[in-house]
Amino acid sequence: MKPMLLYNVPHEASFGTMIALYIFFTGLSAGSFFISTLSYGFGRVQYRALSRPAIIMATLMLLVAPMFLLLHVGKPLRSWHLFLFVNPGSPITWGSFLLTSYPLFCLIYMACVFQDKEKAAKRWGLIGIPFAVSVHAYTGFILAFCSARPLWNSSMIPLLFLVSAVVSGTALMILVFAALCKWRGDAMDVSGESGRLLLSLGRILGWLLILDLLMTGIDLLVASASGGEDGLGVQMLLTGELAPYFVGIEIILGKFVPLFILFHPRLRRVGPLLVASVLIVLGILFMRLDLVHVGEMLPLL
Amino acid sequence: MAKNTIRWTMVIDTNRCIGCQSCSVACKRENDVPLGVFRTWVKSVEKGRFPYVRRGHIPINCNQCEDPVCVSVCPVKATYQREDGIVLVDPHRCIGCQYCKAACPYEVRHLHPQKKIISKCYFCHHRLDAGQLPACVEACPTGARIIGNGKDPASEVSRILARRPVQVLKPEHGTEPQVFYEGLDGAMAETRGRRVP
Repeated sequence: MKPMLLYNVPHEASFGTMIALYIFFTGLSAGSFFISTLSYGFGRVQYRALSRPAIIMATLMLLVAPMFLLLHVGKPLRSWHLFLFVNPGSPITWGSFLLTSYPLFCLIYMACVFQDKEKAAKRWGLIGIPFAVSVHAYTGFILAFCSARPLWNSSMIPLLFLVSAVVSGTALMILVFAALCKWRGDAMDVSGESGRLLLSLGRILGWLLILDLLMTGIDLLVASASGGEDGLGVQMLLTGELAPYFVGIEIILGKFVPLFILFHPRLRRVGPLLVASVLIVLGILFMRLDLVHVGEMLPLL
Repeated sequence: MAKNTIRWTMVIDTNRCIGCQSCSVACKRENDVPLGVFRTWVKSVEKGRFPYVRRGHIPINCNQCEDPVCVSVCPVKATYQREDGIVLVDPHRCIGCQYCKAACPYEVRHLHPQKKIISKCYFCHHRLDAGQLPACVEACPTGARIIGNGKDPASEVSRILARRPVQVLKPEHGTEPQVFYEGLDGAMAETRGRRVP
């Protein structure tokens, strides 16, 4: 007979939805930055048309993201404490410096791109990439450093966050670029230049999505084998109260349906691609929400 | 006695605890703890099948860990450890990011509902420094809680730790808790309720 709980003091979640949204928006920013540097930084000139809208999105998303942090913390007017009383061992400290330096690199790179300075854009784009990587990976470390929380304490989390950042950023850029084409009145059929660009982005997106799915699967498989709190977390995601959001929205709607659309030969058109992109962004949003919530729903004592 | 020759350590005898919550109430009164949150409380669990049953009680408060994870994750060093081992929060420095609360394996921290900063058990350091016992220790009608100097081999806590079987909550997180339990039932400690949203 299992012991039965009679009385305990319940605790409120520490991070919750605000932090999940913060992670979602930094992910969109980092992902957009990678897309923007494809042409100037890595010489993939076929993506030149994306560089400008992508860097604008990267900067905008990074302006939005810290607002959720300000909404989350109890004393937002004390934010300057982060820069005065520095604890180098805390991922939040790394973040406070990354979140102030990365937008600067974004702005310098954006200036170079808009003046079409090929060499300077390449330099600043490549310098910016480690910052874009860190600004998103550090959010993974924030969760991973909580050793007692189910599914957070995994070395896969920072990497998984990076991959899902690029996935959501690419999907966002497909949507933004399609909106731009529509606004400019460009044709978006498969034979046109814009249509071909969108479809080649969709191809990249498909492979990234497979990588994301693999990493999620590996992480959950190992967690389910490790028992204890991690096992309970996996149970909550697969069959428990988070199952509709995790299995239903994150995995089926946000990963399998878009994968089918992206790789089905008869759906290689811009319309289905846009549907897939919307679903992917939605799926990544729920990935952030599911992961933050699953760590906090289980009482630790 | 100088500060660095003191290490405040608590021993809780769960066999003596009757689950009366006197410690929770005394703590609330002493430290002006607001409604809805607790610095210490008693978790109660039932096990067995009638007529072979037992009701167990586990008093819980901050473990004043030797290697506190809350201190290492605090981005502004608002949470710090005194030389005598007590882990404190500087109320003027805390920004209320709640990272320490998420990282604590024992969930013994809370966000003060009005001040919006982190609050926790301090072993009533104001009373200890004045030569008095913490409110919970003084209030316990069965003497289940004992506090003393772990660095003094002749103190009551040191003698208990030396001679009797004791254990700590969740030793696997490497935090080295300094609240020790006698007669702790592992299955009871692991029994969880459901999170109230």
